[in-house]
Amino acid sequence: MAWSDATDSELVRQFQRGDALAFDALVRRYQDRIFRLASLWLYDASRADDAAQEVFLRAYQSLPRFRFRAQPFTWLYRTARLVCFEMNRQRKHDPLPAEGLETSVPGNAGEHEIALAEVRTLIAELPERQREVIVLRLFEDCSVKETAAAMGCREGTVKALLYKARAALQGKWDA
Amino acid sequence: MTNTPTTATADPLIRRYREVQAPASVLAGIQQRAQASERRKTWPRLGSAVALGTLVVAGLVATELYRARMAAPTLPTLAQIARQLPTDPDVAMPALGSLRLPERPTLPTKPIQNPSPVTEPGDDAPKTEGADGITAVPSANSQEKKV
Repeated sequence: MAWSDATDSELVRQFQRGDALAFDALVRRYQDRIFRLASLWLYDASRADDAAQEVFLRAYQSLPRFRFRAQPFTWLYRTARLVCFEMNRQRKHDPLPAEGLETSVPGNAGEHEIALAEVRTLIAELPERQREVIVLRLFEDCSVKETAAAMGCREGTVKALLYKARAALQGKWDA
Repeated sequence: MTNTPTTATADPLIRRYREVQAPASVLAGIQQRAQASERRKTWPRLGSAVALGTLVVAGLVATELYRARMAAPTLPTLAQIARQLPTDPDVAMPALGSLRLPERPTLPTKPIQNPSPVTEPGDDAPKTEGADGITAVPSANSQEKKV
């Protein structure tokens, strides 16, 4: 089976039938996205790979009982949010603090680390919900419907939050 | 939905952000932790088997102890005794006189003080003085109580 052509639901159903390769395909499909999101949400961005591993480990344990009430990516996204929340709480900080995000970049950082740090700096002053919308809609290129499902809100709310976020970032970033 | 956003963008920041990829250690770490999770699942199964076996053995021991206790001789009940009594009328029942009954304690008798004598009607009745000095004549029906 060509995993690249299969939908997320088909991959999960194959995994539920015992096909471990389907799970590998699912991981390869979303590992970059989950890693990037974790890099933005975690107070300590260096732990983003740990967070991504934890997200997919929970998927490995829970997807056999997945009932398809939501899309698999919605489940992965919310699990990533929960994992980052738990990891941030271990450091006794707010999940997405408006201030205090580590935006400084180490001297030997690569281009990817610099890009992530710039995005973190850009969204650091936004409220939590507006940050989510900006990241999902603009940076991750999710549709309005996908963003609403991931955030657990209506599509109108997504549009309103995006409008407010763009207004807040006006002057700092014109996208 | 694919891993990398498909919409092209002119914004350099968004383009650079989308180029960020997870390090190779993420997939390798996931595979290792998934295998470790599978290994951990076998240990609870063994523990459950040991616990179940212990319960079975304990149940067998308790059953044997109960049976041994039930087999031990116990005092017969009244119903069992009654069933053992002879029902044949020709069989002589034990005489009641042969039964030894416990002695009944005798109650102490109270001595009668100043017993009144028995008198015939018309005789000079003994005069008894009442508390007010008036002589009271006993009635003709009064008799001495026999002890």
